[in-house]
Amino acid sequence: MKGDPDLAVVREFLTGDPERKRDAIGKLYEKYQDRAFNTAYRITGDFNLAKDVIQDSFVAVWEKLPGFRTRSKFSSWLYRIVVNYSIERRRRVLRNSRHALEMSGDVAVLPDGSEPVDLRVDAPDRRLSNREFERKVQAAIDKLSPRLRPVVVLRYIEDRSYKEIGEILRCSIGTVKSRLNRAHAALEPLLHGVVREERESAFPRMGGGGE
Amino acid sequence: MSNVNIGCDWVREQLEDDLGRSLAVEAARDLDEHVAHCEACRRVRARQEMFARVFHELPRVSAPPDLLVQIEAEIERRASTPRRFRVLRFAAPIAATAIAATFLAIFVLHRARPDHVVLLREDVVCTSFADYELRDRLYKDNPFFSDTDPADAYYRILKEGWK
Repeated sequence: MKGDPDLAVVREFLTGDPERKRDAIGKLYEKYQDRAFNTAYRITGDFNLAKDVIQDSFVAVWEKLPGFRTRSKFSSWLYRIVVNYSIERRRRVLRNSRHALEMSGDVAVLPDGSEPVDLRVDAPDRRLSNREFERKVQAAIDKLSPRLRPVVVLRYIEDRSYKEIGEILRCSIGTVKSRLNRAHAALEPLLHGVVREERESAFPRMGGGGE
Repeated sequence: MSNVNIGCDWVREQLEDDLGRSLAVEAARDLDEHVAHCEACRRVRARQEMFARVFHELPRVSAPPDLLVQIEAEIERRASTPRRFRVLRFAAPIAATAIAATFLAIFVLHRARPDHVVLLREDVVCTSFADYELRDRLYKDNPFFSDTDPADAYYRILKEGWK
């Protein structure tokens, strides 16, 4: 925990004083809420699930922080909790339902592992809206296995280094790289489809004055 | 011609890391030169650029404003209820041990006939010759036979047998 920027707040929490503990949790939440939420959202693919994950994660921080004695940083520990809870939550949803659920309506969910959206170009002259673009990219992420998804989210969305990802997922840098390679192979054709569709849909706007 | 000083492995590592953006000017130039002449590395760069662009364009989703309130409420709820359970967590093994110890004590004392006082042979009060005879018979096989009245014990043994 040496050199951990959150050390002071963690120590404040460990004083045991309920008021200071509450303050410390508030500070940690303020600092990490959005990044942690975004991570949970991208791994679960659902807004409400991400909410549950973040709630559970910070409650776990409250309960388990007194036993936090690892050499890793607090942020790595928090992300580990978030990633594990996200995978677990999503797995539970998949187990409980064999049919596609529309939980929040924001982004398609894949409760049974089926394809939620068709990534092929279905209408070349249609411009991709931001929402649709997001939905398709999220669908591509959703197609990754639970082992690969966190690596991609942490690397490309959270911009974490290999070392940090290894620390969060408790694996070696070599494992992180190998998982990323597998994720690249799986994602490349899917994202190519999205990019191609986006590019094709942009032409009518540029050429003929657009819609 | 591809830069012979650097290999594809190094180039791909840089590209996959951060598209070579953190490299010093000269190393970056070497990388560019290599990529310009290496079809495989060019594909890796194109792929990494696509990933970077696509994921960069993905909007960041923020936590809902009321989430902290919900978290605090949940912590409060757990902090109030588990306190009882936390007491139980320590109390339960203590209670179980106490119960087990009680049963063990009852068992041991039952075996030792706790309702009787353990008397040594010499302590048994004998008022007649018959008492002495009875006492000697009782203590013959059981040096710690317990009873205050050898006659009562004798009749009980006759009735119930040795236990």
